[in-house]
Amino acid sequence: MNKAYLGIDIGSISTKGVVIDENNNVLASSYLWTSGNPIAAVKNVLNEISQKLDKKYTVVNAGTTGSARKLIGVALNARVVKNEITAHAVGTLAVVPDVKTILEIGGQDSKIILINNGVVIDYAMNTLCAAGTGSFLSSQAKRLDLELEDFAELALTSENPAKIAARCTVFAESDLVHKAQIGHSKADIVAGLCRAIVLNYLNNVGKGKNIKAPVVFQGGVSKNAAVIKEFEKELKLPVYVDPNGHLMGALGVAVLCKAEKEETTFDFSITDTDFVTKGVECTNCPNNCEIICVYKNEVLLDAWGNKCEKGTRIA
Amino acid sequence: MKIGIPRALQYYFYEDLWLNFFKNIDVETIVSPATNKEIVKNGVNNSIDEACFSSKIFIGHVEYLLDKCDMIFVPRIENSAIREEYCTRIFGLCDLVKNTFQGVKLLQAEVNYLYRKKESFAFIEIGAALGKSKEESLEAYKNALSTAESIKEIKILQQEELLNSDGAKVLIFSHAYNTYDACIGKEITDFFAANNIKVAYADLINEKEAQALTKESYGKRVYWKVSAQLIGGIEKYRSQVDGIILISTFPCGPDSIFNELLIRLIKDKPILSLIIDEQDASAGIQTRLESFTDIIMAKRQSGGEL
Repeated sequence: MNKAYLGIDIGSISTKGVVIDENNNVLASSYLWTSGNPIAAVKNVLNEISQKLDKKYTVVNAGTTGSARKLIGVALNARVVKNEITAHAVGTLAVVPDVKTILEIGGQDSKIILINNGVVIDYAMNTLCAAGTGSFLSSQAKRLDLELEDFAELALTSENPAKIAARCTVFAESDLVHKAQIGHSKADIVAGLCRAIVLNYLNNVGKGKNIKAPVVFQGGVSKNAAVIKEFEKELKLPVYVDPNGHLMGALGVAVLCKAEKEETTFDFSITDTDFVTKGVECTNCPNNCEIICVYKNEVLLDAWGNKCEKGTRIA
Repeated sequence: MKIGIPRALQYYFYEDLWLNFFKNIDVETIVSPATNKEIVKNGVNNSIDEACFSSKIFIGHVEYLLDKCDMIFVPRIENSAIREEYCTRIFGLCDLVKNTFQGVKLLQAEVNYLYRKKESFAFIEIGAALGKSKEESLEAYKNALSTAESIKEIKILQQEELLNSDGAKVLIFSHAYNTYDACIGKEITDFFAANNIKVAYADLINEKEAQALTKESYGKRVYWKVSAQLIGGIEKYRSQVDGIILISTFPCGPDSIFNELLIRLIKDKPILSLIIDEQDASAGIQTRLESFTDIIMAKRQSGGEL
């Protein structure tokens, strides 16, 4: 039997799945939109993976990360449920062992992870404000009537990027409209926007952090060549983007699964199982905790979200 | 006569002194319960947007007490010595409460060493308002003060014991009214307890020692009383912990300076800065706490070689 390990990263926008062998080689992977339904997305990812995966491999452990890690972790009976920062660091280290800095800009959040000797020593995430993340770029692309795919290409043609306020997306947006109205070309504006994303990131998330090479850039926005170019210009360091950059979180949990001592064979037939989640508001005290109950084939699997013992009765 | 005491802001600095004083002069008190979502909601609804989250919670606690007591105890405490100021939000509380809840009956007193209004005078003033003689109040104050001081001493000793024990430890740097509030710091300290990480508190330190340590390490006396005390706490305990957590409520003036300063100055320990407001976003906090735990655990395993 050849052992394999499954990692699933359920993000706000996309769901990623990876199966690796004992040497961290990617055997199968899948990348799909979450579309607001993490359980359905995970089922689709698992179906795709089970079709791609060579039958000589047996998945002996599964792990989850991303914002729906707990929910999916319970549903799949995952051995490892890990936060996205550690997962991304571990995944990236498997591909670029000497990495010192990981820049990540996703759909909803952005983070920076500093690594020394293969261990995370510091990190930062964007605060309440989602300024400068992927969703901002996509909404601005829509406003300018551009496909996100053409965005970078157009930006790269600009020789004189327009200066766009980078502190806050609300200001950036009004600045953008202003620049268009006074006659800047679309290419210059788009290039300015890519530059604004980079400056915003370095001013907010990267503030005060000592960014050292090798630098790896990942997350959805790392697919944008113009943003990569601006990062290199600003940091004066080469920025590496791995073609599998979007899978790093999933890869990270798969690697963590490998380190687990115990093993449970993962059964892909779980995709036929019916999972239902229900949010219940506990009314036993004024905290009104929102309790999430997960049912597997109509049997309660787990429930969480209650601050105190009173909530356990509700589930 | 029943005196209502909001379980928020100053209460966390003076809990033992106040409760023992009222007990000593034989006056019944009611302390509002631990902060819950309803208190937060009422506080937010009755406050201006610009107020800090902690002071919004205070207003929520006052609202809770309105129909449950005869008077609400909201003293004006500006400082505890010359050049040891509390935040303006704290000494403006009584005006804030009076203007928010028209006709509310307050039990008031003022402490301001700049104008020679000593703490003991304030307690005589409170006693007088409740029909107690000067001697009675003074005696009650002195006894309450020594009880409060010995309770704190015991807590400090217990903390030193905890810091000398084995296992991972974190130090919480936050105003006491945030650290111990059920809707602010408690979720964070509960997280560490559930993960077998011991929690120490920067505010558990002798005040004089804290001032001296702060002055020594930063070359300057810190004007804000609470911040000065907390920085002293960090100086005293930081070598014994694996990481430091800064918890701040949005928007806090003193914290906006000192949290930034600490992040820049402390390079030998991992620091996590958390800013809490009324937007309930515990998922984000959870992710940050989990990854911070991973960092301190990795550092311990590598023998602190990072």
